[in-house]
Amino acid sequence: MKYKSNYLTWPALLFCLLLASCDKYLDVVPKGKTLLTNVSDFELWMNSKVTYEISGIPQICWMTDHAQKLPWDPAFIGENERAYLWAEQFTEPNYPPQMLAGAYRHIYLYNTVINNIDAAAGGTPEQKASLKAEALLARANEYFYLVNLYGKPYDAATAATDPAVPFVTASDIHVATPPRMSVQGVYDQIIADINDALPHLPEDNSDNRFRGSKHAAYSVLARIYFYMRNYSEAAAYAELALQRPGGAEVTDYNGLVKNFFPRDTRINEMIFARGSDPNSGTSVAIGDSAFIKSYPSTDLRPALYYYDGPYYPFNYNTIKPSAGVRFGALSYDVQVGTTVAEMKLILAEYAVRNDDVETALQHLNEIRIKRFAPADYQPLSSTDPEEVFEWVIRERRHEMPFNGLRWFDMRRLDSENRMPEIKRYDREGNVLATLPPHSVRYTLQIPVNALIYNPDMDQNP
Amino acid sequence: MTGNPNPLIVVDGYPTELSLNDINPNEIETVTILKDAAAAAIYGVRASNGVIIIDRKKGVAGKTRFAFRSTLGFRPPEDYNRYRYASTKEATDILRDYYEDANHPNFEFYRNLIYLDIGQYDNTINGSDNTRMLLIRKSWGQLTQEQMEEEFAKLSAYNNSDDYEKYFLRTALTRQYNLNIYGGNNKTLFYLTGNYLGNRLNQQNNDGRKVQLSGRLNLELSPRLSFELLTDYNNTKNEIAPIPDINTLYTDERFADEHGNPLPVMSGSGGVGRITDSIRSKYNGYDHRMYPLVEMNEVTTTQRIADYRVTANLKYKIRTGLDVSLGGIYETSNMQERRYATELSAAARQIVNRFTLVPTATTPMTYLVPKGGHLMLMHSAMRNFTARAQLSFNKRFASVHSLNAIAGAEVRGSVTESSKAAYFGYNDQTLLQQPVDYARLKTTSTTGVLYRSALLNVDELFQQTFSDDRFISGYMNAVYSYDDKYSFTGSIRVDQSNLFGTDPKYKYKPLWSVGLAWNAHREEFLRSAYWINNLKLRVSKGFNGNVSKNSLPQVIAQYATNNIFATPVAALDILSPANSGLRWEQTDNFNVGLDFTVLKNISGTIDYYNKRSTDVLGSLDIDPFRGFSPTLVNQASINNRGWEITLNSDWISTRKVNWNTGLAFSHNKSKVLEAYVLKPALGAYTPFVSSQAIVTAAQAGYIKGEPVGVVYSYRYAGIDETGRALMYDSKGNITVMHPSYDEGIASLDNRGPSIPSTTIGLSNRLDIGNFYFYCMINFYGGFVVKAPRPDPNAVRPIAGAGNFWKKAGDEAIPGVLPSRDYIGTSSPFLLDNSDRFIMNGTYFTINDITASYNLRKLDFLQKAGFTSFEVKLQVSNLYTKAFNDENYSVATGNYLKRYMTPTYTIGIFTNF
Repeated sequence: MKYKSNYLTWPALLFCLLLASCDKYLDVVPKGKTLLTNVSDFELWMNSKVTYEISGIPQICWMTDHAQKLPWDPAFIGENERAYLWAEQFTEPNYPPQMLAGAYRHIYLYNTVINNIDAAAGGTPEQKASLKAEALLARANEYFYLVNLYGKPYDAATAATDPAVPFVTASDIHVATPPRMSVQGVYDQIIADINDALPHLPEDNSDNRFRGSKHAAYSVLARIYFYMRNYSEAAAYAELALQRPGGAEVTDYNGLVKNFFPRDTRINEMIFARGSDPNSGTSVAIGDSAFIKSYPSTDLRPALYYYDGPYYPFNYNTIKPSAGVRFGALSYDVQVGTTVAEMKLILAEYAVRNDDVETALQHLNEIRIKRFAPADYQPLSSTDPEEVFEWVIRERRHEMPFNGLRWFDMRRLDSENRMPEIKRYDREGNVLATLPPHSVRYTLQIPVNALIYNPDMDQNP
Repeated sequence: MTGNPNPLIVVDGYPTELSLNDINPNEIETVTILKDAAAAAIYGVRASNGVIIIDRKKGVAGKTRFAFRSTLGFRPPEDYNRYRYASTKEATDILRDYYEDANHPNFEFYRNLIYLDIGQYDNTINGSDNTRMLLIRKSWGQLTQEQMEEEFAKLSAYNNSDDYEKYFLRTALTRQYNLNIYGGNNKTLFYLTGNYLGNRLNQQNNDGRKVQLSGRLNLELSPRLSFELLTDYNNTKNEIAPIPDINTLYTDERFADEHGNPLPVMSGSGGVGRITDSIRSKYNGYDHRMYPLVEMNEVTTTQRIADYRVTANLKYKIRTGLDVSLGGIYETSNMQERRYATELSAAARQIVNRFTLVPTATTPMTYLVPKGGHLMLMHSAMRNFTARAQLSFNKRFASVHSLNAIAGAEVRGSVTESSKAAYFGYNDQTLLQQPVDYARLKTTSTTGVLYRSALLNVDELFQQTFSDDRFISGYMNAVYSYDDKYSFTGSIRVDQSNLFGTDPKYKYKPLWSVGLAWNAHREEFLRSAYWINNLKLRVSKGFNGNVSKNSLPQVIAQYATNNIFATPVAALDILSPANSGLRWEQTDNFNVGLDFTVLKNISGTIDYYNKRSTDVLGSLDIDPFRGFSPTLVNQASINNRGWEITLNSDWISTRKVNWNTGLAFSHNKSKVLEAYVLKPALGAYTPFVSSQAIVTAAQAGYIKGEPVGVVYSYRYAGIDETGRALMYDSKGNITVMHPSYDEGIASLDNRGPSIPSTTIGLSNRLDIGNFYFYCMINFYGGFVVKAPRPDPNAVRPIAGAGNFWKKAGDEAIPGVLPSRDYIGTSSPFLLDNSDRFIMNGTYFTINDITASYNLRKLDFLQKAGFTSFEVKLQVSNLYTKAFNDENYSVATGNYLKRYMTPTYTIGIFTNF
């Protein structure tokens, strides 16, 4: 009937119209968030503050012989205290382990770029290659820390079978975690990744030292080879790193105000800058008193690096408060990235290991001249390689006391039988813990709360 | 679990974002609660927690009628003397023992620090509590030993609970006035309401008031066309002032001196005390300390909220049994919040002090944040609309078949946005503010300022947020019934929303339900059973599902500013990682129910439900190697089943006397079918799953094979001779309570759920003539509850916190806690989760007692036109008792509180 069809068609038509505008109505772009679809999105992604950080630095510092937890209070034992005593497991059992989770979080961010940049819209192939290269470099840097924490110190004879960490390349959390890769495997992979990245990295990162550049890559390679104890390769790359557009000048500490370290001044010395993750704690590490006393009295560094003041309110009975390192209200004040000074120290150590005392002393003095007032500066001079070697190690310790590298140096020197036994004491002078040479505690165990999710993963002794 | 745990509220046919509090109870005609499968299928995904359908009163044809109600409610203030707090003597003794311990520093040492300068102040002395100050003064020779003991005696004798009540609390008062006007004729019906609610809270200087206006109109425009228009307007104003939380106050802290001048307290003073105040006087800065009596008057937050809601429905009768209706609702809510802290308040002063640079040889005192008051403005708005077109069909065939069906489509949109702005150096009188150099504030080092603290976080002061949700849905529901005895129901609904980037496989997934009902009382064989008035059996099954908006198979990033440099850099931070393993959250519902009325006066329902939720979405810690933990995953599958029985009986039902009892009983059992990770099993892993991991996973909600929220506890076995806590291991032997003696799940007892599994509600109403009396009791059982461990380090400790082991022999003292050293080293996690503190949670409450008398028979009232004049007295939240040793009932809301604070209401309800 005509009547019937009329009143049914109108609602039906309306319905169809509704469905047609369906998709358009629902295709609204939300404000404030986005998927990563364009190359420009990935560029902003690499500017995320999180990519500028390394996690777990305070804890690594507590494990070194530069730290001293005095006064020792048995009533307050936490992660840092357990790390200080080189406990097998020191992370809190019910939280994601800081060092490990932080490193893999950064790796996830870089994997997101590496895996998805090729499919991104807009942008030239050069831009894509450049961003991918930066991500490869940053990821290699993270794995450098991981392999030096959870793998045994590099020994070419055993590195192929010593387990390190899983080399995760996925950016989908649903993908299963791979098994632990060997120490050799991780090193080979990160060196290969940086070499792949080198041709595409930007020339210069002087407007933002936290981003990658060719010279930043050289500096990271220098570090990597240095801790593999391949000193000639390390020196070669350190040399290349110092040829960066920003110059090879060490910051002059003369004229800087105590406790006031202008971030921008310091940062020019950075080749590949990284800050300390604020989630790892801005808690202070306390400097070992013997170590602090080992600085020459006119050295400008203690006044700038260390901070006077009592930290443990109720529980100690020393007359003078201990000095400590202020990690700062802004953790980016703690720079753990590669610096000009670090490259020079690598060159100095390579030189002295080859009995080239002159070159070594030249590098040391170029650093030291900026660390003393002109009136107090005395250049070092000697012909004895052993003596100069000790100076190089000492200068390394003085220059970079709390950026995490001391722990890696302790492992490296221990492989060469150069580390004494280290002890920890309580306030009565009783020994709380010892770290003998070649101790298995130089290699960290995988935290228990990571192993729970990977029951087949092997544990370190 | 993600998403909204609340049921969907439907008012007058449309879902609303308002809460139940915003709905005027005087307006409600009927409330229907839909719990079963059919609910979700009609109302969609948001109905997975049940639907509350509220229909408001409509006009009644006839002469215009009025109803006026007025109520006044009182609630006394909290009496902290009745709480489980430690006495001042116990609290000061704890502190005194701690400071006098030989291991603590000689206070003499701090004497030199009294002359501290900028950036060198010592938190420890400055923020000192009264106990420590006495010890410091004695060590500096300002007090002799006898004088100090005298001062301690005075200190221990004072408890600030009474003064707290005197200065900060008062009786809460709630006033409500409600007027309804309704009437109409056979073509027009109207219903108008005006309501005023005034609230004076227990906390002084905290008030609120709300005005609600509502107008509803039903018009018959023609025999085929009818129109309905509903408008609502709410206007709320709240005034909020800061009252210190009593848990942050030491028991001996005074609020005013003997002359009535305000005194500062430690909490909120930023670690500044008497000593560093000398720095202030040296540099003429602001007093940094917080004076509660000043703060409550100098910081005011005013909130103004305006809500509008307009609903319109047009219904056209195409022919008998076939209607089409078009309608929609538009709702907006606007909130403005204005927080003004005057120059006299600590809130304003502390910000100024944090960024005041002290004078140096070359620069004068510089105020990077200008002196003066601080104003924060916040604005948020919500607008949503729903538009609906619906066809409904009703037909009876051959007198035995009947078919009712509806089919419709709906469009819905919801926008919320908010913004925040801050002003400094502000004065409310002059309305002037002063500029601030934010760039300099973010980069200036914290040394050289008057009081060190964190740098400014600009996001706290300025922010914009925006979210836009859109939905399109289509639905259909049909009921076929045969002979009025058997009926079959089916419904289906498809929701589509603006999840951006959604995988197409998630689109167009329908929700559906089917059901059968049998009116048994209409059967021949039951007609003779005269005692059965109504007997209906119903069965239904349905499917519901949910997709997460917050996590996708691709990375979601959010815009951010990277401001570590002086010039900020635009950045994208990660919001959610890519998870290709995400699946729909699905719920399968099955219900069987019986509705009955027997002996004319006893009616009730018996329901059995079985609900299986698979792939429940939730945030969970995952493998840290994956790069993002915790994150949203499909974390568990849960089964929920139970019984619900309601009974309503009129025992006596005559003209003069009526006695009615109502009973509601429910019993629920949940079980986790699958949990994403952490299946406790001894020896299955290396290392094994520790008991601590199990307890933590249980607290997060999901252990496979156990109820949701299951609780595990360690077996407490007393204290040993060195002050350590002991526990029973799996063989019954006593060992030290320490993670090294962990046996995994064998170290634990399974205590059952932490949520009540059985609830019973019983209400009774007795009417005698014009008088009635009503009483309601509730009972909750089948669960355990965890009491807090008294902590000697707390500012206001719980009674018994000072009773901890100090020397050999103390382990015999009843109720003794382990030594302070033990608590520090072994992590009190095991002790806190032992059966010493986890106990039976069963409790009952007396919720409501009401007495009412209707004065309608009085002559003068009848002459004035009143058809009803009722005076009602009510007490709610009267009493509670728990069935455990400590009488800890969760009904009080707080372990510290042993009693319920009732509310007394008197009201007048009239109709004329």
